[in-house]
Amino acid sequence: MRNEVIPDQHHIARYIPYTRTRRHSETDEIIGILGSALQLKENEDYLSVSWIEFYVGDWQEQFQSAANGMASRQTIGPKGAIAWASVRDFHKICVSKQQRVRIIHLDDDALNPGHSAVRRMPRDDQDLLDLLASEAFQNFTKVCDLVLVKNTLNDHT
Amino acid sequence: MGSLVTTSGSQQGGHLMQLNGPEVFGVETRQILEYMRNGPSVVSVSREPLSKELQRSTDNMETVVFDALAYAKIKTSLVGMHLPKTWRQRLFDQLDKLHDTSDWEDGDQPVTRESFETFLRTVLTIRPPPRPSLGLTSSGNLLAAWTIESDRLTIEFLPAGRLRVIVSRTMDGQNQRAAMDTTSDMLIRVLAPYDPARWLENAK
Repeated sequence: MRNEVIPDQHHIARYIPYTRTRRHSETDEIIGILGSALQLKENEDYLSVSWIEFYVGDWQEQFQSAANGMASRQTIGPKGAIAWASVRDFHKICVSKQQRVRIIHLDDDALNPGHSAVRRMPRDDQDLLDLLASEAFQNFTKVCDLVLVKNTLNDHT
Repeated sequence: MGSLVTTSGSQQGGHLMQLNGPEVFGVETRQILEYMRNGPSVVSVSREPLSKELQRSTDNMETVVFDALAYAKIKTSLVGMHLPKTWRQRLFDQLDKLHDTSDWEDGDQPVTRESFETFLRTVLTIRPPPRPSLGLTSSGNLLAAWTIESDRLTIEFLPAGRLRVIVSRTMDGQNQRAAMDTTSDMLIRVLAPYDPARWLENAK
């Protein structure tokens, strides 16, 4: 539902391009994400994420559906990752830095129906971005380990 | 065709190629320099048919990326005597991977000259550090990250020698964090409370 607040016990996911991943210096294996992966661009009013529990099924099915939704709307590079965070952890970290964000379902995209927004993200708090990247978005799956299927307008979730 | 390095730059690049072995200038860099000398016929690119507008846009981006990579590699080679060969090669490998546009988001830019110059200046100041993992912001600022267990040092290289530094370090069982804007000359001094040798072995 549009502007529905996503519950604390649920999770949000975001595509992380290779250029914004933290990697092992020798093996180049992804070991995390950089704060810049959560930085708002100049033309952005909110941080775009995907609501995992919007979709039906078990966790794997929900995560796959969220990934497919993202792939339907943006280029998902083969060397990147899809990271996810608990909404509770996200809020907790923001509050620890005296920031209060709103994580809401946008319900604005038939091809990416789980599309959601983190509103009131501070633009220039590098420490917060680093904390969110390293402590909220600790978990990720490499894109190369996923089989992504783009949605079409005839699909139902 | 974009702002490619001038003829004198390509001559300089050719001279540098003669001075350095193929492990420094790989196949792609040689292609870049040949392209600068001889034009697009040397570089073959295969792609599926695109609309003319998209084709022009794609061509422009390829040129911009080539230009950025060539500048970075040539600039590095000018100070190559101060950097171990394997360090330089690893840097070039990472730069190549960062500039694979199939992994880019819409609006991403290649590394800017100003950011790369700050990166090089910093590396030479701390002479050189253990190899970081490199990243790139959407606006083309280079990022370097050192991670040892839960301790992290991340630096964004801005124009004119400026740095944006984020450090997270566990000391005496407590997590110490800081975000600061500084310069390459001041980096070691501002990191002193966090024991920069943790990440930068040669830091003084």
